[in-house]
Amino acid sequence: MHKAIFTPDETKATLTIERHFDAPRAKVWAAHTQSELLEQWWAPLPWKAVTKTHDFREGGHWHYYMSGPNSEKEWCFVSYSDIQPEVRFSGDDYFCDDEGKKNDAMPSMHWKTEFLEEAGGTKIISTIVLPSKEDLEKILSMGMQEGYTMALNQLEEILSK
Amino acid sequence: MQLDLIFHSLSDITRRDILRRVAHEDQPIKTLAAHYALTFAGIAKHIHVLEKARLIKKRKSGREQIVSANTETIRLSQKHLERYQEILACRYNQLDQLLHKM
Repeated sequence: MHKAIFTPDETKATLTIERHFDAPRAKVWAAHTQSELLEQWWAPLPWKAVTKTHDFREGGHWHYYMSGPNSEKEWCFVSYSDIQPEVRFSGDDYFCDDEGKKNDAMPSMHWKTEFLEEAGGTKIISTIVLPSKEDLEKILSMGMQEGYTMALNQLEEILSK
Repeated sequence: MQLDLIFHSLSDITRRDILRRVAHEDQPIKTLAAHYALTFAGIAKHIHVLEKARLIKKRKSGREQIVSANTETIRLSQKHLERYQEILACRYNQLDQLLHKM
């Protein structure tokens, strides 16, 4: 298992993630761009990503929901842009309803993912641009919910202090 | 259990939004309620859920009730970025497994 390297830049409200995968670039690309593959890794367990519609092209989108352990449904939308096959693609993420209508109470998030061949596999570099520090906290409180199981131990530790 | 209450509180988008607002600055319930298309009673209910989870505190100021973030929450929010990174790391570990199968 490889470690992800995180570089947050709070002043610019960006978070950069670098991660190595022991697989050829074509496979890592496929796992990021085909919904039947995305569904298998995108949601942190026990959550599951379920696709409504997916169209991977510039101007296309992935409309899906995160299905939670207590039958929660969090609808999400990814709007794709700047696609260069096996090199990079960008997108805007936001929360929406089952029709894909944006939830304006929540900020959207712009990101870019780059794919680089390197010894033994592929490196991806993801840069997430967050609109503001306030919005970062909003998004994270949503992420916290998705990460329910995993966050439990750590949170318990924090609360006991 | 405290954790269940916290997660239950945060599972609702309106409550997350209320929490975000009061984390920024203390606010009378009346001011908060004006932001949402809900009845005052509806908002009061959300606030009660947040209060039960100790995410916020209420105090009286004259005839108004002022809502503020619990300092514990502030500490939690400072840990958010870390937790987000864990979620992403978890995602990528799942991707490892998928790539291995492909």
